[in-house]
Amino acid sequence: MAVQGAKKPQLSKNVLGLKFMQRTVIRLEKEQNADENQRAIDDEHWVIARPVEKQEENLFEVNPSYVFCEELKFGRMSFLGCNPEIEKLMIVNELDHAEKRENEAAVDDEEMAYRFKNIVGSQKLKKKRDHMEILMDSVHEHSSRKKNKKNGFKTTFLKPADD
Amino acid sequence: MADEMELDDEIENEAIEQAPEVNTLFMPGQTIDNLKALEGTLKVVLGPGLQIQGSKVVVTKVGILRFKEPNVYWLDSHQRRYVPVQGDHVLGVCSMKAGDVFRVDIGSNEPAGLSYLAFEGATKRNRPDVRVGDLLYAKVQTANKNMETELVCVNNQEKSAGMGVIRNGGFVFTSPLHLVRKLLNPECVLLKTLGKTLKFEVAIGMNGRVWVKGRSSVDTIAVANAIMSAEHMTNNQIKVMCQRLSHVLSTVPKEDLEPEEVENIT
Repeated sequence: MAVQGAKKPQLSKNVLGLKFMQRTVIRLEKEQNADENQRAIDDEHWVIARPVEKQEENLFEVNPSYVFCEELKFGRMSFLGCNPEIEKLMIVNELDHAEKRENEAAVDDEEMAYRFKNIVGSQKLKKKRDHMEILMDSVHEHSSRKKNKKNGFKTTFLKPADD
Repeated sequence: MADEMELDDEIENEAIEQAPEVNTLFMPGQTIDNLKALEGTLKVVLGPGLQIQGSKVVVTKVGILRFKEPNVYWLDSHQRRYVPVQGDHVLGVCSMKAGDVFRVDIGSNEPAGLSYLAFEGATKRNRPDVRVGDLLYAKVQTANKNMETELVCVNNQEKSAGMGVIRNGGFVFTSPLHLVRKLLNPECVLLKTLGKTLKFEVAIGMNGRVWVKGRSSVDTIAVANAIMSAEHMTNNQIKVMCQRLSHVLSTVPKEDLEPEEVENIT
């Protein structure tokens, strides 16, 4: 316990067992533990030094699932009411899938917000009176369009500007 | 179906000016250098049959390179041996009850483990009723080459969602894995067309096992045969076959179509 190398004078067990020597006992123990820890770290420090060259791997992502790649369906199916539970499940899955496809094709929220801002923003702060004017204008336009039709002038839908 | 896919991919390639040999044959050991993703995606996703070795992408299966927008590449190969992949739904047979797990044979290199708690409504007290020899439809939870495959019979909301023990007869057969993928492809018309005239139920596992149950054993056999023979058919050929099948089945005398108990054959 109290061994501290051959050179250092050692305190005998009997002495260390005395009550007033307890602080020394704890100190000696601490020193020994520190030595041992140091040795353990030294042993672990032998690591192979390898060049770091794995940056290109970040370009790829591995997903070994055919279900993901080929967008395969769920494997349990039932037809003509053979198993109503499974048929319910099929309908739910189909709806989920359809929703996903729709979301892909539809205008996303950001674009919607952007367009809406452009359309609404121009008239947002106008007063009620202005709204009425716009309304009247559109009514007037409508009637004039009718006239145009009578005159043989073909009206067409105008595509809104894209920006 | 395949032709359409090829055409689409060709157009795609021209549009983004890339030259990976999509829709051509590859052998194991070949490397592919020029895999590119469409703009707006960061990474290229490598599907089954492709592996990263160092900085190269190496082919590990024989098959045709496929591409899906925007950034997925994989190898479409023919094989019969199942290697578990996380997320696959598989059809297995309970081969042993070992304490708190069931051993389930899913046709892979070793039996998979299925915890008795991984069933809908299962608690420590309330064990699921699974017996040795029962057919199970389950999802692969962990698939790792260094560890035992683990199955579950619940989804992430603790619902069974079509998984669990399959009872009440039917017929199980093993098919090549590419046939299973063909059946589950959204563009394949086989099951839908059969389902218009025949009343039946199927459970298809990605491990190549297919369970079929019809109204009678004649129906069951008919559906099983139709599936097995559809391996190399195009969608049009499948439609013709289904027409002929339903015509033939309509001539079968009624007493043969009586429902009867069929033993599980695995």
